[in-house]
Amino acid sequence: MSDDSSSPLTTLKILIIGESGVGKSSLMLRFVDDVFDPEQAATIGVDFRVTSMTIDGNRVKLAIWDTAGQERFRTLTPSYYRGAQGVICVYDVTSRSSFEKLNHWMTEVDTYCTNDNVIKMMVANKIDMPNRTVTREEGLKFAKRHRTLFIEASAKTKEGVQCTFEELIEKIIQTPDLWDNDRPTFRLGQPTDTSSGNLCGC
Amino acid sequence: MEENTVFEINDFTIVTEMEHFGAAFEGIIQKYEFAGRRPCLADDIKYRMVVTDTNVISIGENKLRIDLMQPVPLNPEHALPQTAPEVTDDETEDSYFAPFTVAEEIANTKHGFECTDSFVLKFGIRECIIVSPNDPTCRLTDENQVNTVMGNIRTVMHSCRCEVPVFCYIKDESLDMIAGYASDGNSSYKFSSVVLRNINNRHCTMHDLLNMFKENLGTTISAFHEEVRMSSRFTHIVPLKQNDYLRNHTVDSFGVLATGPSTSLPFDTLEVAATWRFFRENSLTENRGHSDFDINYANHWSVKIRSTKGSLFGVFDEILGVYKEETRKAIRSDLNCATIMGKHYTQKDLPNAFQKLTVNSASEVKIGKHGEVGKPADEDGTNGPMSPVLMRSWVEYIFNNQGEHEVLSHELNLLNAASMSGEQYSEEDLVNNVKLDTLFNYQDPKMANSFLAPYKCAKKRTTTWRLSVALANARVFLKDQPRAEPQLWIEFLLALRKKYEKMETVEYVNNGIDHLQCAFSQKMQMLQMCIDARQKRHKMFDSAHSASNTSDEFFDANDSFNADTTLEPNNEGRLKLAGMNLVGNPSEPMYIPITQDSCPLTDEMIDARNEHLFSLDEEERVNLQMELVKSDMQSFKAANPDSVFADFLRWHSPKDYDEATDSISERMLIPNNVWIRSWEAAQPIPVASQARIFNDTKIAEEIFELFNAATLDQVREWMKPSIFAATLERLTEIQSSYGVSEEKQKQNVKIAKVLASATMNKSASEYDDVARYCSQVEMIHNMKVHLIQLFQNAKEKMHPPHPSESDVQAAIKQLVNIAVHNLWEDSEEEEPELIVKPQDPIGRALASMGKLNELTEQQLIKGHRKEYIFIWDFKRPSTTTLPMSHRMYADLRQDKHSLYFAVGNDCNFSNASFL
Repeated sequence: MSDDSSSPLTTLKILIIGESGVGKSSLMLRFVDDVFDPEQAATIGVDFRVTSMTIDGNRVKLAIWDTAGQERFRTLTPSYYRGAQGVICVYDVTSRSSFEKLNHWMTEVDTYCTNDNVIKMMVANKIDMPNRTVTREEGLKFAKRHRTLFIEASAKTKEGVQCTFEELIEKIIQTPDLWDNDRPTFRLGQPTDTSSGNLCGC
Repeated sequence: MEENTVFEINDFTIVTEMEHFGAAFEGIIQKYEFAGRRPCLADDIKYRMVVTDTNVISIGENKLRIDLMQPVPLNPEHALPQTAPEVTDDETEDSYFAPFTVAEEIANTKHGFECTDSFVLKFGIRECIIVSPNDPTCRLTDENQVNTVMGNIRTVMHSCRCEVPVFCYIKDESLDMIAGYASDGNSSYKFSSVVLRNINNRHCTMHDLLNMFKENLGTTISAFHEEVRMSSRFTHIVPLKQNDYLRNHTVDSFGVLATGPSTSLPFDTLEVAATWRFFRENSLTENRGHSDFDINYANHWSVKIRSTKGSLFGVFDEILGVYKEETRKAIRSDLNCATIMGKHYTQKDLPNAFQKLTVNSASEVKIGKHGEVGKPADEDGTNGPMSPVLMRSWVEYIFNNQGEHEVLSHELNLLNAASMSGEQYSEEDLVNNVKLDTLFNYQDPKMANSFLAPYKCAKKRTTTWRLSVALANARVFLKDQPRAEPQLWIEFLLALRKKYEKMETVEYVNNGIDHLQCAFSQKMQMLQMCIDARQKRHKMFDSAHSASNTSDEFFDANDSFNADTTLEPNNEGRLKLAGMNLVGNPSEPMYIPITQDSCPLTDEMIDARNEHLFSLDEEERVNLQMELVKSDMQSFKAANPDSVFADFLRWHSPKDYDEATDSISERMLIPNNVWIRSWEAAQPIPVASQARIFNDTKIAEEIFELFNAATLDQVREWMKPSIFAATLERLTEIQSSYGVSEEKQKQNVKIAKVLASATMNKSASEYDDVARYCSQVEMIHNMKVHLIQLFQNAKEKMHPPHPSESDVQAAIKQLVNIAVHNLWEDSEEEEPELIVKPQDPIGRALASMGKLNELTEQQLIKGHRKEYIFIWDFKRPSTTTLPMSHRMYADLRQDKHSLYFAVGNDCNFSNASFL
């Protein structure tokens, strides 16, 4: 995106999930290639794009995983979740059922995410459409209950797309436990800390 | 001309190096303001001598270090008076003389064995200046050199009226040869030390030393002299008589991770330093034939429990030691386990992977299911070094620890008997051993099934968990047979293979591979899933087979079936009715086909697959991932011969078909898209005849091949996360046997989090931290257990009153603190002490422990270390002078005998005092 010369701080894996046909691929392609195709073919298995962006002066590399929504592809789910730092869960504001399935998707995230503090984001897509059936309030309420980020967007009009990724990445960067594996999260104290007399003070 | 009368000295070449040194030394004394009287220190305040300042002065090439040692109150509230008590009031001048502090200090009998500072013990003084070589190359080599330097220093001391004693080391500080001097201008003290490799036996008792002391002062022994005041300390080191701990193996103890000492019990000696304080010359006698110093009647003891072996390692250190680079390996662990076994293992000619594939192919399913049942158990396998029956029953226990294990139990009894043979054990020894066994094998029935932190390792109660514990136990229990570990692994593999062939359960799997478990555990789960898949496949083939025989009756039966009901086995691979009719043929119901499962993936397989996917271009990637869709299309077509693409979508991707308008979504109508192309190319093939997506046979064989080819190092690496978790969890369990402080529990949880991170990130340094912690805490635990048992035994043997439980606990805690201090702490900190009175219950318990009552007179006389302090008021140099206190400290050890003198003179014969 910008300043490609500096070496990236880290590579983040972002996973996009949600029911079939809610516009997961369109969101990704809008963000990465800034294109929109109303006749976007249904994704087979998983598709990915690699890009990079600069957040707060840190350049990060992004591997965006776009998954297929169909039930039959879900047997491979664990492999998609492995090592993901951020999950974008998309629903379609014109499809009530895609919103109602969110619970199921949240359970899946909790089951398969290996990172405990993975950052989750709820995206209400297709807000450009006239026949909306899920209100903003409903979406917000759901996001609050599941403690996820929330944004309304349209891959078609670009609205909210950039913002979706920026907010998510920012939140991930603020949670170094997620991405900074080399950093010792825990250190034993000085030898006196562990071996001092009170070691046996029970 | 007047200018010429003033002449300046600018040529210093005639100033000698010694004069330079003297000037510098004087500078230091002035800096400290040491002129005049020094303060007398209070007796009731505890001080510690500390180096408060260091200067370096050179004499020519040599550099000498000048350390100032001063007393600092242990309790900071007792601040040191900064200046000497000044005599300002004229009225008091006659009645009060500020004393010569050094003389007062030397006369003070309290400067005895309670002090830990060496200068107080050796010379009785608490403030001094120490001159020592700054580096080993420039030391003062002999007494003459020291005399020269000291002569110079004496001059400076007198000219500055410095009363602080100055000491100078000859050669190395460690040799402890010291000369020193102090004077207030009138009287003077000379300090000296004599260090001998071997003092004559004649001088080794109090009686002889006393004579020597007096004679050294240049006097004949006379009845009219003041009595000498004395203190003495005798250190006795006695063995703690106890046989080595022998593990008694039971099925129970084999199931949990071993704990306890690695080779022998932590402690084997009791060290008692018995002190007699302030007694007068003739009140106690010690000569070559008699000793009054019966250890049981000393004033007090300072007690330590020691190990003479130098290492107190526990088994955790052994268990985790294989993961440390520096740890010695008993056998070449970088070899394949079968190779390590050598002659002990004869491999059967195993069919190669391809042959194995055909054996298990669909056409021979019947053979696989009904054949090869009664294969003799020991057709192939190891024949040693451990009893193969033991190993096999152990492996059986690893796979299933529930129920009876008579064979294992019998084998363990044999093992116990073998380890006992060759030595005679008294009943008492055996009872002791049982007690220790109970303490070391403590199992907490309330131990939770969960972990302290989410480690990425095998779950408790899985085969992998039990296997890792077993392999670690094999290392510990069968230590004299380093091949036991690879033998167990090989027997495990043989049993695993057999179970696989018989399609028995080998590992616990709950709804797919658990990615929160470690790599090895995932492989075992994968193997179980392969077994499950094979079983399912066999069932399907069986039913397909029976279906073809009864196909005539099939459709008749179907009519009465509910739409949701699963269908009978059929050739079309139909699972159930979909509840709607086909678009392609509205008179036909749509059937949901039996589908293939996708291949389960372990972490390693996921990584490999993702890497592969990333390397492909988009079209190849899509093709690769179409595998499942293509299979679904084939099954769907087979189940619904009249179906069209729209029908497939209605089942597979209902979002892409609008039932209301009977139309396919736009994205599925994109010309020539991969969905349409695949649909058109798909043949109607039911799952039973399709190529397998989850090729369980191939994957299982790959796993077996990997396991068979593994080096011992590799096996250990696979077990690493689980065995670390088992160790830390076991540590928490054994600690709970005597109740753990909250602080300790918090520390355990903190370390558990480190381990969780280590297992997640495979961080070697974090693993090391955990290993260090585990081995330290286990050592402490072992010490405690050993002491608990020693005190228990002592209590049984001693006469009442017995020490109270809290006294025993306090003593154990302090003894462990001392041992811990000596093991790990830097010598900066003062060693903790356990002071007991010999006649107190604790003292008597300790005496019973070390059989101190049974020490003979000769043992008392030949104590391990004997120390004496003599203080004598005696007029010197002549009978007309004032009496002065003289002091001698004698420290007699096995190989080093040191005498330290502080000898006063009520007359200063030093010329320096005039100069």
